[in-house]
Amino acid sequence: MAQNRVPDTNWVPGSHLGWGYAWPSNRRIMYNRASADPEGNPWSERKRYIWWDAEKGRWVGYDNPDFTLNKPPDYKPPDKGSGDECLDGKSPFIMMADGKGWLYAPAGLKDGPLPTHYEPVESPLINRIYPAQQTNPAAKLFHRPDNLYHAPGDPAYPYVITTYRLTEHHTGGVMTRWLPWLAELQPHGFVEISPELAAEKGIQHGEWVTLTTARGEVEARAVVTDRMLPLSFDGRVIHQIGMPWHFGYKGIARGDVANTLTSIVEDPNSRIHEGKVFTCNIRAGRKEVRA
Amino acid sequence: MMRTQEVQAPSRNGQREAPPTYYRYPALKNPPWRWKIVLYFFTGGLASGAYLAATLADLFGKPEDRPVSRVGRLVALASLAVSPVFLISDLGRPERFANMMRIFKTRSPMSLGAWGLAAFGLFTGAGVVRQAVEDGWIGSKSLPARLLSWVPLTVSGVAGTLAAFFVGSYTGVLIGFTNVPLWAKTSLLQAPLFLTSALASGLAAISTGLPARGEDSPRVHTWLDRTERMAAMGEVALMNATIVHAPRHSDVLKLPKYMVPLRLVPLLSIGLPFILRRRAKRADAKRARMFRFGAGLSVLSSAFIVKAVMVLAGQESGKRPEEYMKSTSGGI
Amino acid sequence: MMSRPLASEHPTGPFYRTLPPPTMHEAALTAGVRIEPGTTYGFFTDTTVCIGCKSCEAACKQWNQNPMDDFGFKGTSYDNTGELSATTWRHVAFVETRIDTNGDHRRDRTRWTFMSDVCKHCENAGCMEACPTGAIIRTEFGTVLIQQDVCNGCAYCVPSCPFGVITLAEEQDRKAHKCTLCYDRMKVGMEPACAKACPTDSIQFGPVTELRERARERLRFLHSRGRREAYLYGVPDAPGAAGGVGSLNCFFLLTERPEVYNLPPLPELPSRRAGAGFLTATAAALFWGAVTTAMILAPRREQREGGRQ
Repeated sequence: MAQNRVPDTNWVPGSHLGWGYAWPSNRRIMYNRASADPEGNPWSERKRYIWWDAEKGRWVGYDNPDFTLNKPPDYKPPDKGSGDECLDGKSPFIMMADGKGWLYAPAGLKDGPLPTHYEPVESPLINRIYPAQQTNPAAKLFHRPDNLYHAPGDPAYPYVITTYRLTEHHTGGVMTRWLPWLAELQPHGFVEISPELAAEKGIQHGEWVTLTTARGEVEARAVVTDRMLPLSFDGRVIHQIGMPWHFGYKGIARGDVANTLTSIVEDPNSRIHEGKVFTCNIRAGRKEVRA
Repeated sequence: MMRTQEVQAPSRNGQREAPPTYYRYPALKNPPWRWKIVLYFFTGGLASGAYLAATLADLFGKPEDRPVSRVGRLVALASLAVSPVFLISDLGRPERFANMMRIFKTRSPMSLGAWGLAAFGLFTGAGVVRQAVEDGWIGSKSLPARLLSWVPLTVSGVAGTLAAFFVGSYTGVLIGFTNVPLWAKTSLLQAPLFLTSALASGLAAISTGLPARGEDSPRVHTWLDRTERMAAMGEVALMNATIVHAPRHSDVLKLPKYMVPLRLVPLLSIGLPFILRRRAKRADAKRARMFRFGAGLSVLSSAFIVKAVMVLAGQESGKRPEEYMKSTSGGI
Repeated sequence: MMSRPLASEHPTGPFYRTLPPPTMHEAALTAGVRIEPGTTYGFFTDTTVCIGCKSCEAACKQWNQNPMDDFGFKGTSYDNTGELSATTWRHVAFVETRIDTNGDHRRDRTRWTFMSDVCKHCENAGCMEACPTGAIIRTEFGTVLIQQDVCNGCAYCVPSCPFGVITLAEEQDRKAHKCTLCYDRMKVGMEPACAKACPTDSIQFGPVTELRERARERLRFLHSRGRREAYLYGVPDAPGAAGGVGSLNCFFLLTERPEVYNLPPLPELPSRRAGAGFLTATAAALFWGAVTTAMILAPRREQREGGRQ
């Protein structure tokens, strides 16, 4: 059934249920009861997706309803019961105990109950909302000689760096850097900087630059573009550098590995490392070759 | 040097600014025509100019012009034997050159040219056979001679002349029939330029070949040299017209690698031959031949420069997107 | 239009086979078009929904098995391909245009526009007119095709294309190559690879007349939403369809000046100049024929120094 190839007609709303297969029951959007208001009608004609058909006594629409099929919107659960019968007809988040989406999480999060703002572990700024608590107190840090962290506002590493993906490569690039048709579309590791930062550091568009953190150094080609905006806080200009992280030293399309720069710090819940944003320094020229 | 985008705001004060380009990537593609095609143009033009002089001398000339016909036909044959070799070897698939004879497309100068070249080859061959019969190399009863005797000299001469004119000039139309700014925007000048250059080079080749055969006659040289000088002046005038008119659309001819050789053209085609030939008049027979030989070579080299610069500079012009965008903007 | 079944009516279960029987009309399913010889087909490329993913470029390379070419970091935005070539028949252009934000650092100061360039399959094709071997033909689907078994690599079509599309494959088979509008796919009822791959339907395939209607409808919609800079390139009486080129079977909806995408605003069909060229050639021929004959016939004197006798 994953090989089904019957698309919906062009220009008609739908979710192409005949094209491929979404486990477990070909449902394309989770919790799609939320596409209808508490009374069971679509929030608007433009947003019509799943709705309650009183005549048929069931939920109908463009997708497989992620809800008990014949539970009406006005269903009230009994005082005693278990499982699905205790969720009322207005609660779309059926895998949560009370059928609601949780903003306040009394249990289950190591850094709950209410989300708030923390600066990343490495940041040029002080946490404006909680100056006394700069970063997430539950973040897992690993203090080792080869995993040094930058202090907040460390002038040696004044620029924010963010890592992101390109369309042409996939994750670490291990599989895509070897494919000629993809490699020619993005052949080399690069970083994107604003013209203001380039002028400040004397970096020419297309030339080599080296980025440094306390963990290591990488070199890449510089793309100087207006798409990168200098940020401004309190009259201070904070520059940001963008770096796609698909590249490595093997394959047809090559470049230095972005993770050389990142530190190991884990999110308390998902244990994913904070490679998305940290601080660094940049200079024109290639890496120095160390003997 | 990395390419950077030039995207400009619309003009504010009504002045026409240079149009933007897409990071200066070329907007046209260049054909891979280099030295082989230059040599094809040169030898083809040479053959047509020599054939013209030989045939017109045959039709209208005096007995003392016999050597001109003979040498002219031989030069035409020699040049034309070599010319298609350059053309065919320049093709991406030389073994398929005969595919050009699959069709006759009046809207394509290259198609017409392929057929024109074939026809011209036929007439050149006919001219050489006539010459061989005259000289006794082939018996007058032999098959080629008898076949030719069916065709009066006037007819084959006139038809051959037309073919020769076509081959000498169509290459100018061919390059004008493209989008390359240098060629397209001076297209009206190119056919006359190439033809004039062909004529000058053909006449020069003949007057170079005559001393080689020891058949110098000062009276022959009168009209040969005068016509060649007029053709050379025409060539210089048309080349200058191109140089003057081109910058409205393309600046490539101003590049030193093209401008320096172009500056030599008047010298090589008019000035130096004039000096050498005056010297030849005063010199003894042997030195006179040397001077005439040098004068002929000088004209030939200037004709070569004209063709080489036009072909190579055109490719340079095709690489400049700002020139192409300007020439296709229609003033908006 | 077919009425589309609701999910509740869609059969499920292990014994329901939705794989359609082999069909000669896959394009009817994927593009809503039944491909028939005798109709002119083309592309409508709507750059306002292009996301610059390059699926079209990759799909074209994969279907036609074209090799990687001109490998190297170019630094021209996210475009490392640069231009169409003998082995690149789809090329996505990345255009960054500055917006005046009056120094407001919080606002984006660029517009990033993408355009998937392709052979325009012109109504009056410069390449087809130039070809001396008859290799370049108009197919039964109205597209311009190079017959690879006839082309002898003379490269005359190359400078004759006003859009710089067709190129000689100098390092490969030394013949001319360009987009075929997937002639081999259309012959078996499939839409071209790039149009099928395009995830946003920026590249739409269909009969040119129908595409033009859709394009005009889209243009009306954009103009009604204030996007007055949008315009069509390559439809009759618009930029791109000028100078004898006629209209372009593969036309575009653009939002910036044509030059910025490397498109000429008013291209010209080169053959328009051939007539005048041959006229000047004839005039020159007559002139020099007359002059040479006059020189031959004129009375001659021995060439002497000074020449005053």
